[in-house]
Amino acid sequence: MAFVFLHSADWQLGKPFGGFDKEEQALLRRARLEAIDRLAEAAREAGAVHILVAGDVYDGDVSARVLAQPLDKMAAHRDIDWHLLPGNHDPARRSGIWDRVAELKPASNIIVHDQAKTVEAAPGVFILPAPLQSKTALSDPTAWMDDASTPDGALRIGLAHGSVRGFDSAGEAAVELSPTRDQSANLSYLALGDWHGKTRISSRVWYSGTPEPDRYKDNDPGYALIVRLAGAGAAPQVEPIKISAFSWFSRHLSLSRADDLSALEKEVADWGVARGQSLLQLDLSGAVSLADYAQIEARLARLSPRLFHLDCRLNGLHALAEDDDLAMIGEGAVQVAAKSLQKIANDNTDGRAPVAALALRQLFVMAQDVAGEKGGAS
Amino acid sequence: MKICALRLREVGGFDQPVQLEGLSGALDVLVGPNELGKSTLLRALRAVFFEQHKSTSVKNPKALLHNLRPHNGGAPLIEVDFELDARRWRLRKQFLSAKQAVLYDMDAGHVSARGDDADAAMRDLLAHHPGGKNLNGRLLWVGQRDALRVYAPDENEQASLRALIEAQVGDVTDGGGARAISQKVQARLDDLVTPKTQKPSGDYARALKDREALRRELEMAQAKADEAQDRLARLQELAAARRALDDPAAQAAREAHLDEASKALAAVQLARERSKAAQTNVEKCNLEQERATSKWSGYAGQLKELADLAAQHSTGAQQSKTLTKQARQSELAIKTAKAARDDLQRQLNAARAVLARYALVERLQQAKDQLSAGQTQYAKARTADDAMRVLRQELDQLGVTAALVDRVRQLTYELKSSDAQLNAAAPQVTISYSKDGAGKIRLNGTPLQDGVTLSPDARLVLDIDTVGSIAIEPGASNDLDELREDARAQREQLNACLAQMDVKDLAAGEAALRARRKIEEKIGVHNAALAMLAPEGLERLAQDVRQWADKVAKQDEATKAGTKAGTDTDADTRVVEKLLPEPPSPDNLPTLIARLDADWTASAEEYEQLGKVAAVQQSELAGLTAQLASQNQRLEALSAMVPAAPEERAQKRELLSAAQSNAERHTNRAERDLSDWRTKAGSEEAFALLQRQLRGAQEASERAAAEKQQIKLDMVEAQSALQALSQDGAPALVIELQEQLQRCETQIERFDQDVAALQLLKQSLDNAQSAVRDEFLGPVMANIRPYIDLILPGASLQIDDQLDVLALQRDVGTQPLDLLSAGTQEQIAVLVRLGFGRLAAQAGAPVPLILDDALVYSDDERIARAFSALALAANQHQVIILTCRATSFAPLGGHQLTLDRWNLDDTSV
Repeated sequence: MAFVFLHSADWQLGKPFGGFDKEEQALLRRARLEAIDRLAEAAREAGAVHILVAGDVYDGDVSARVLAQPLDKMAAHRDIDWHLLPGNHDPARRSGIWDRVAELKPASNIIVHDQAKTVEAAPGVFILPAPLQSKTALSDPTAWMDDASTPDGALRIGLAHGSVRGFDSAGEAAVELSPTRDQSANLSYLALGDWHGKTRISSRVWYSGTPEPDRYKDNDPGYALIVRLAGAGAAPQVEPIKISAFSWFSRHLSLSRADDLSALEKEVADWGVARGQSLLQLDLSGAVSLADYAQIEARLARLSPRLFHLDCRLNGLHALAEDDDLAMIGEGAVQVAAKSLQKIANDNTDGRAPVAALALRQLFVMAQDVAGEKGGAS
Repeated sequence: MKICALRLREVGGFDQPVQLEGLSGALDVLVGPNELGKSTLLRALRAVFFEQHKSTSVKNPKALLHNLRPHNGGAPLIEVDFELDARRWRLRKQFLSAKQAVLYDMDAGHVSARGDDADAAMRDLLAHHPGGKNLNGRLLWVGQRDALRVYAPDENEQASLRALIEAQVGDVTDGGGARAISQKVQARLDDLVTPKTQKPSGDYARALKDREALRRELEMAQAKADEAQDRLARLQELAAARRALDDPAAQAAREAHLDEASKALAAVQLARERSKAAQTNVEKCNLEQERATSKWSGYAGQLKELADLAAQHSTGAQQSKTLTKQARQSELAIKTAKAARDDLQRQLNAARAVLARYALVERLQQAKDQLSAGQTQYAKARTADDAMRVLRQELDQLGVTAALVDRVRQLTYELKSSDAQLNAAAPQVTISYSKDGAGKIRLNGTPLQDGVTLSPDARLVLDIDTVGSIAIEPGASNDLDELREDARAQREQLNACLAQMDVKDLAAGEAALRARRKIEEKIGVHNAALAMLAPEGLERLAQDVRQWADKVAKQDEATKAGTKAGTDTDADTRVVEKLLPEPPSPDNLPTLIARLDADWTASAEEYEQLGKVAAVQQSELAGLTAQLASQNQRLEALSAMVPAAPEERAQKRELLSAAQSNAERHTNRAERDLSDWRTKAGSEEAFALLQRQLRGAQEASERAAAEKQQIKLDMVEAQSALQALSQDGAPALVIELQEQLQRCETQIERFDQDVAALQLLKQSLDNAQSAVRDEFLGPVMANIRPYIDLILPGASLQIDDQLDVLALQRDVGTQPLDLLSAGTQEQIAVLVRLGFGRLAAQAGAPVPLILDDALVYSDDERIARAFSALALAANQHQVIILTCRATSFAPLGGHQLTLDRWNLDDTSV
């Protein structure tokens, strides 16, 4: 008996993205919603008509709009059965979010597995869900699978949300799962959620990760898994499929001059149009001249609008005022002020060095602006 | 540079070409009337040096060329001869139409450049300076309209001056960069902090506010998350406790302990119950024993009571007989005593009746006496009242009163006083005859006696026989008229008062008043008598007399009635007479009555005592009779209880004794059983201990069950609370808020750093600007100083780095420019330019200073000092004076210029 399905998890629809501005927040949330369409398309291409979502469909007690829109999208893909599992972000507690879902009377192709009982998804194919009733679970919610009875030769697919004991997959949920549940419960596959990155625990136990990344953590997010089961005893074939609309990158650069940014600029340029869907966390360190510092800021300012979001951290990047810098700042009083600031910046006895360094950078930039304005005026 | 000559054609108001020739290059003075065109000359100089000949800036009213347009049409042509760096040049420019520019090298004798090249060449000439710096404006002037304001040098002037200054103090200027940057810094600061207090504003303030709100939200969310964590920990504790309670070994131990304690207590409880039963049996045996004993003793008692009652009944019968006899004797004695008491009662009543009749007669007599006295008193009071009424009628007829008499006295006195004054004012005429003349003087025909004195208050005519007459008239006076009028009024009032009293004069009035007072005294006497006889009034006294008469009548009727009520009065009297040795009277009757009353009391007491004795006897007799009857009944009952035959009585006695002994044996056996069970039951303390042990075992078991139940409830509650907290999504919210807060903190940190850096930058720029300004202004102040000392001795100027004069400092203090007088302002304007000129000259680049109708407000002393300054300046550079005040400027001296017609053919370029 062969069975193909798509394994996804951790949609966390409605996640607020508090660290971003309003426009970015809206787009990031929108991308998570539209991932549903991409998942459906990926499933179709793989010949799958079942999509198993291993928990955290919603990010919490979301608004009515965030609650309803995904249901409508899933309902629109009538050829797909959506198996939704409550996770720690959306536990199946009384009067909780899944009761609200039930009140909306979701389409028949949306199956909410809010109880730990065997469900026959297709002839001879049984899903053994382990829904979370709360954010935390005192015992392994997959334990019941060991004693769950199914007909001989049936495909048993576990669906759970939590951290696997003995594996460094500490997710958000305070729920510990047995890493050998597939063996003790005779599962053909255990589809897990909570660890936002794509991760193989064993040949039959996988985290699919979130289809749409939500952090700079480099744990291979943005995928769904196409799982092909040839039979109850056969090893599953697992194929990762890229789903994400946004890419999250994290880079650290040590600079000694402005041109050290060139490599990064080239990398971003190579991303092409994808850079507009890219989020870059840039951590800069090193020491450069005032002119280079100003140039770096200017180049970053030019780079920023090309990206969806640039989180630039310049705390580790220091500007050193050199003679040429001071000469460029100007003459007379400006020169005197610059030297005064340079003296403070180089002598940190009163703790004002960082402020003086920043003031010096500001003076440099403003002096250039004034010079430019005069030049333009003349 | 020196201006050597200036020529104009078709410029401004000049309708003819004019020329100013022969300038000395030192102090050159052009004196001319208003409308001469002196200001046009100055503008023409500026235009020829600084305007491009193709300039089209003519429409702007402020443009030089606009003011140089010829009034009568044409194209302005300006030509200037000047000397620069020891070389002589001629520059000619024509503007607006037929535009041309020619620079002619006079020393070389050829044209140096034409057209645009001439403009450029002129710029080069002005730009090149021995110091190598730009010198764009080699001309200083104080224009006609500028004299009242100490204007800052324009951009060209400033540039020139800066170049000159830096030639002396080095490169200290930054081209206004510090000022421009400082303005940018301030603008950035204004966006971030308030100007005065430097408190955060705008985005900075909003970020701080957002941070506070986020912190509060995070704190609340964190509290909920912590609570959820606590709940989870509590849940784990409860689960561990439940597992401990569910341990089978511990549970079995609790159950065994409970079973053991239960059995031990059950054995003791059985012994205690048996003991209670044995106790009941003992009590029952005791009761049986008491009953057997009672029966035996009851039978013996009956036999004894039967014998005693027989003896008592015999004695009682004898006592009954004795008492019956005594009761009969008592009845006789009572009868006798009652008769004696009744007899005494009759005697006493008779004596009291007789005495009562005597009392009625006496009260009648007393009423009659009272009536008689009252009638007499009334008659006297009536007499006094009548007399008083007559006297009052007399009094009413008298008109005199004390007030009227007093008034008459006063008027008499006042009238006398008035008359006396009139007499005193009247002429005194005393008749005194000579020996033969007596009687010859007559008044109204009556001869007057010798020595007669007349005081006429009206005209008086004395006739003297054979001689004639003498008319005497008192003097006329308003006072005398008023006095006479007063006297007349007083007299009228006096007569009116006398008439009211019906008397002729005061004496008669006083006599009448005395008579009135005598009548009033009599009325007082009668009134006093009447008050004594009838203090409540005559009518009340009459009413009392009538009441007394009524009383007499009533008393009389009562006396008659009292006499009639005792129809047997004679019988009473006879009874009394028998009891008294003398006839009855009010005097002896009370004594008799008292004696009879005492006798009756004693007789009544004796009668009562005898009654009581008889009652006791009757009572005793009745009791004894009842006792005998009762004894008879008991005897009959006892006789029925006991057998009649003695042998039967003895046999019954033996049977009752045997039953008593049997009951005693049963009792002894029951008491032994009781003792055995009590030993098995043990002490109360031991039983209580067993109970406590069982209760402890039960409680331990119950406690374990209760704890399990409580743990179950606690777990449900904790899970419920945990779910509720999870529902709030507190942990996720904490993460979200932490992200937002971190973003906000980063933003604020950036603001903090920006503000601190901008403030430091601003401070650094300010300090630098201040230091540079001091250095920069040194040469300026040094070159102005000689002229200040000349014109405004003891004063100094405050000048900013734009070379603008800010204030004047003198002994009286610092004065802003706009508060100074017009004269002082124009003097400062001149001396500042003189200083600039001196500065330029010191730098080897002398520039002409042109004063166009300046110093018009200065007083004589100041203008004299200003002339000295101008003369001093002319030693350093050219000073051109254009003025309309010939007289005032005559002391200035200098080289006098004239404006002549210009013949273009005389010059060539």
